Amino acid sequence: MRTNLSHVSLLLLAIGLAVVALAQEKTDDKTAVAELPVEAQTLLEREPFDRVYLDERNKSLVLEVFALALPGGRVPEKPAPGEKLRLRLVSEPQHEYEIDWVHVVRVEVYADIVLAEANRLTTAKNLDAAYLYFAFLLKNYPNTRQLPTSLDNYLYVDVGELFKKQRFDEALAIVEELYGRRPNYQFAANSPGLMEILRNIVDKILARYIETENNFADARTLMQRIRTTYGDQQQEVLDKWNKALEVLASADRDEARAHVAAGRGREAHAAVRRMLNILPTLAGGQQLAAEIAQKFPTIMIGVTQPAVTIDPRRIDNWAARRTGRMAQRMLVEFAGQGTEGGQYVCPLGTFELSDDSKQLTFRLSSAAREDLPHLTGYEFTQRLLDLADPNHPDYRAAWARLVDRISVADVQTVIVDLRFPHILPEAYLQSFIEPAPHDVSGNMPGDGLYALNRRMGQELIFQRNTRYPADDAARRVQIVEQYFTDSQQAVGALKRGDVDVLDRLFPADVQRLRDDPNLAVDSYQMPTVHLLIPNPRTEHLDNRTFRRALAYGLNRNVILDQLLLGGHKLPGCRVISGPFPPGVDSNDLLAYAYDERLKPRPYEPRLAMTLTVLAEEQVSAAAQKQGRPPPERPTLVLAHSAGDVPRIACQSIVQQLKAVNIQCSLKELPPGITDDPQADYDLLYVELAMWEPLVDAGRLLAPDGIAKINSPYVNLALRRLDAAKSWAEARRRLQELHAIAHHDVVVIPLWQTVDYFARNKNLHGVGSHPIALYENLSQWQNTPAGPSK
Amino acid sequence: MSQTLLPSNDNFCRTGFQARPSQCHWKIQRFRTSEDTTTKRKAITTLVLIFALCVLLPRPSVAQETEAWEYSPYRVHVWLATQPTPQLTSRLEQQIRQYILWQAEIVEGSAWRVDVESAPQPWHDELLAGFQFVSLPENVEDTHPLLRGDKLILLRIVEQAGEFLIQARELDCRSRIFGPPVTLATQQIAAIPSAAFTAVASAFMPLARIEKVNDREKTAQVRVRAAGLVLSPNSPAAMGTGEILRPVVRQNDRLGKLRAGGIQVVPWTFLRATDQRGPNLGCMVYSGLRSPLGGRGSRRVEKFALAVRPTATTTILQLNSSGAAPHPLSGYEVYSRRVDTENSELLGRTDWRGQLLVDRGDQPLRILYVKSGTRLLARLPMVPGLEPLQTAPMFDDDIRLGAEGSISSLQNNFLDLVARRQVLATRIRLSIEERDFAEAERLIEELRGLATRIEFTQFLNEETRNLASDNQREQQNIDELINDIRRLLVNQLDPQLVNDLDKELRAARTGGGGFGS
Repeated sequence: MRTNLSHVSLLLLAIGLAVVALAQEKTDDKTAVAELPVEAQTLLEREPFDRVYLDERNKSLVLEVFALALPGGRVPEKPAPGEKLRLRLVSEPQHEYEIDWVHVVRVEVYADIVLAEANRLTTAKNLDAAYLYFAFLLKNYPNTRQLPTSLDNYLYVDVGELFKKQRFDEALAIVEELYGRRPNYQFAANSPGLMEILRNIVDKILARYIETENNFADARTLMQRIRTTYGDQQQEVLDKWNKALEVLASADRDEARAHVAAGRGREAHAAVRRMLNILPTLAGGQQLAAEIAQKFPTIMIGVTQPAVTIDPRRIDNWAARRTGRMAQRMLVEFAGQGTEGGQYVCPLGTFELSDDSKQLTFRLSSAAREDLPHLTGYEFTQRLLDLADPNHPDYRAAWARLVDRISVADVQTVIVDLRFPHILPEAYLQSFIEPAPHDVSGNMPGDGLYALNRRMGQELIFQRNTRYPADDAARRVQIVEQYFTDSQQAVGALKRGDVDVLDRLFPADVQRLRDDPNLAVDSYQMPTVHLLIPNPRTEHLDNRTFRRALAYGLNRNVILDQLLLGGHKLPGCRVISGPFPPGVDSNDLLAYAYDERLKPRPYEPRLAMTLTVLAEEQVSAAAQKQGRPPPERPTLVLAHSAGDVPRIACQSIVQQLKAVNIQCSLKELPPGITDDPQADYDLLYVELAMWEPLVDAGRLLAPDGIAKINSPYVNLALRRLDAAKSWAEARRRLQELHAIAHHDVVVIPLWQTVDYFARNKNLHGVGSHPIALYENLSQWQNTPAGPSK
Repeated sequence: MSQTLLPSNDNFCRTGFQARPSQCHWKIQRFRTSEDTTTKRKAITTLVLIFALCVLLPRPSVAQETEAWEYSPYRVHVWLATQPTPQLTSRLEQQIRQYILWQAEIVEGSAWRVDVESAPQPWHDELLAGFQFVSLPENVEDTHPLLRGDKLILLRIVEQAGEFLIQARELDCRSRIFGPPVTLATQQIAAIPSAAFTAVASAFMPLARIEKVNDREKTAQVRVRAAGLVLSPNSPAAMGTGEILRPVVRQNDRLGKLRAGGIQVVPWTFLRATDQRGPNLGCMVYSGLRSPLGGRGSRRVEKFALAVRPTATTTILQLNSSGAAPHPLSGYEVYSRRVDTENSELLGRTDWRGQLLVDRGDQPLRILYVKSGTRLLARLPMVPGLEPLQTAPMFDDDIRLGAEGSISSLQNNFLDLVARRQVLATRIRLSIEERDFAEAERLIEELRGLATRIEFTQFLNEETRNLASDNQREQQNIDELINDIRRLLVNQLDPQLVNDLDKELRAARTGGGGFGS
């Protein structure tokens, strides 16, 4: 500690040096700006001038003069004898000259000079430059003679050039503009007319949509618009592509029929959805879709994070938790926020904590045992013992420390005696009922309502678990999770009706989807906390001054408000100062761990740069002490899971860190993976379901937790938290943890988001503000409906 | 079988007579095999005479003692207990005995004098039940049956789960210390005698006497027992460089008898032999104590060092709080260092039971460091695998650690504040230099908005109000840490800075010079 303080003194000296270095850097920047070469002025940048052409008696001189004050703004056709033109030469602005009009052959005003230059550029196919001239004239000299004709010619030439470059979308926009200006425009006698050009362009665009991109929705939209705007004039090309769509859709329809006949429900669904996507109006298509929906009831879930593992315990993996809720039961499950911590239920029965908080009694219900006939009170006890066994994979040290004795009173009653009173012992029991975890690639069904049936391409198909009693209708229902690589595709699929539910909307899409009358948008009950976890594999990341520099160098408000929320406000979405959720509003009981007195670190890039220099000093000094050369500042690797929110946030974080001289590169993890087992990163972006900070604090911050924090102060605070005997003490300990995490920047807190999902209104029973998407799965009802309008 | 004669043989050796090992062995054999009562009577008479001579003759000189130490062989008794099963017959037991004696002669004929007998009751049954049931009562006389000779090796052979377990454990009679158990297993009956000898040889821990100690240089010199008789470096009785020894202090009364509680294994202390000169070994002393072997040895205080040969692969390190009501210390960091390097590595943290499993590395001796935050609490030399569990009591550092964490947070705040002030001051001066007075004024206001020295002092007082310890020394430590920050406050958060910058701005505005004008 003494050494640390002397270190502080040295650092204070170093601050001065660091700030001087920054000031020098700033001065150098200014010098660099001042030395930039001045660009040559173009015609548009010059002060407006006219040209006066003199007769041969004046050696045919061409004078560049300041704008002339012409009578009526025009050159007089027959100037009166002796009438003089007064002018100032651009080269001699201090003198005014007079010239007899008789010696003036021609006057070229500035607008004409600019137009001539625009025409020259058009002829030279320098169209981008020409555009600037035309835009200038339209804005400043809209009444210039010959401007409309020149502009039409420019547009025509531009269409031709864009077509050659296969930029058909732009060509279509320009030819339609030209058509709107002059429907009968003809560039030259033998040049093609506008309708012929339009036909060629539309043909090319439809070919790309239909044959290359499989973007049938946009193809249909374009065809409809062309038909409405140009009617019979474009019938030929429209017929051609309509027929092509029919051929494609018919193939899928026939395939769907074959699947129906063979009893292949999922394949039939896929084929009919493809068919409807290509051509919803195909003869017999709607009937076939209805028939398939009735025969093979399927609920399609669009997801942007696929489930690679199925594990309801994972607080750092949304998809694992989502599917885990459906496929795997736990000894106790989180049921909602209570007045003091979470509320938990035991799917196998009921439980209660004694008044002195030293005994937990489970009563297994016979109904639960009917669902899971293999489980007895003895096996339940064994699971509780497993959690206290250091050699068992599900070992939880906090539970082992807490539990003193477990006894079975009868087959239905299990009594757990605790070593000391605990406020929420059941929270430690969020672990599998069955010891063998359900694996996404395995065939062994879990003990949830649904079980994974198979993976088909980008889809995970779940079917009713055969271990549960159900009627035939319920047993036939499939839940299919379809993975979309980006949110826009997923939203498109939802709007088209390809999926019934879209899980976890991109925040900026929430408002847009709320406006859709066919969709219902709802939020989840519990928010998500987003953090950056530093990996102390390098001395820099192990240095808390450097970690503070990172925190000061991030403009988290801009990323959240502008990039993720798209400028909209969503309740509960806010920047945070620690690893715990502040709750959705001031009355949210979830906020029990969050200390509002600790404000999020502001965006202070200069302070970030200063602290970075300081951190370098510290790291170098430590290396010198050990006789090593000072380590170079590494290029940080920022790892993040696949998905639009982490991707966009991390791209922005990289840019912001570069602005404070911290180089950083991105590493996107494979879809569905939220951590790198090799820990080959310096920063890891995580999204946490921190629903019970009392126990989740350890799952995040313990040395064997997600963040693998080795700070002795954090460790001590966690131990004190585990020993808390009252809620008041637990809150105090959690707020201590918040403070330590904030000051030591053991994790870099980013923001809290409230997550939303959208569903087709035909799907009922999902519930309002559920904890997880599949929380009420047994009550879901999907009214068969046709595809999107 | 003449088991009753064996104690006589023991007495024979204890007198210091230097019988040749082979002779001794021959005598043992002869006693065992002869049924000639005349011979017996002669032997008894001889022994009685020798005993009388021992009592009447003056005590041997130091030189004589040294000579006896180096040149008299270990008297090793092996007590054998075999489980009565159809396969472990008395004939097999006899074969085992004979094999051990035969092998002992071959492997180390000089430095050992071994006899093997069936363990007498009640130890036989205790031994069969398990080593943990064989114990040595405190303060027993040196004549206790377990303490005959130099070494007693308990050997048990039992059948378990379809195989035979051969287990041996040594009791060093001088230090009264049990060594670690050695276990071998075989499924073949024919292999049992060989395994039994291997177990006995492995359980044997050679002994040395600590002669000189240099506390300042942390060195010691030991003299190896029977060093003059050891013929092969592979002998179980041999000690050489690299050997790890555990020091034991034995306090005797004036008659040479062990005083009550007179045996003390020096805790957390090991010697590592670094050089060998004849019977002497030069050793480095590794200890968690300041002066572990302080003071010279004497007749009343004997210092021994037992070679350690761990047989297990792990030891559980248990950290408990010191004091009247010890409790486990969990979350304490334990680092490990090899004896030949300066760098240590984090082994782990003690769990909620205060325990950490320490694996045997590539070197037998490791130096463990227990840390709490930035504070080193203990230095614990350890030979993992030697004991199943080792408990180290130490100060419960949690209150001080909590205070250190809080003060560390304050340091961070303080550094950020100083850096922020300096950054603003630099920007203000640059703005004045560029004659951007409005910006300079805005930044001065921003600087005024930062915490002042008084405000930070109040914040410091508030944050440290609860950092209290019942322990006076701890409270002093905490107070010192807080006072250090207070001193820094005085030097760094100079309230004059804002006024100076304001003056510079005014001077620049009026063209009266100042920074950058």
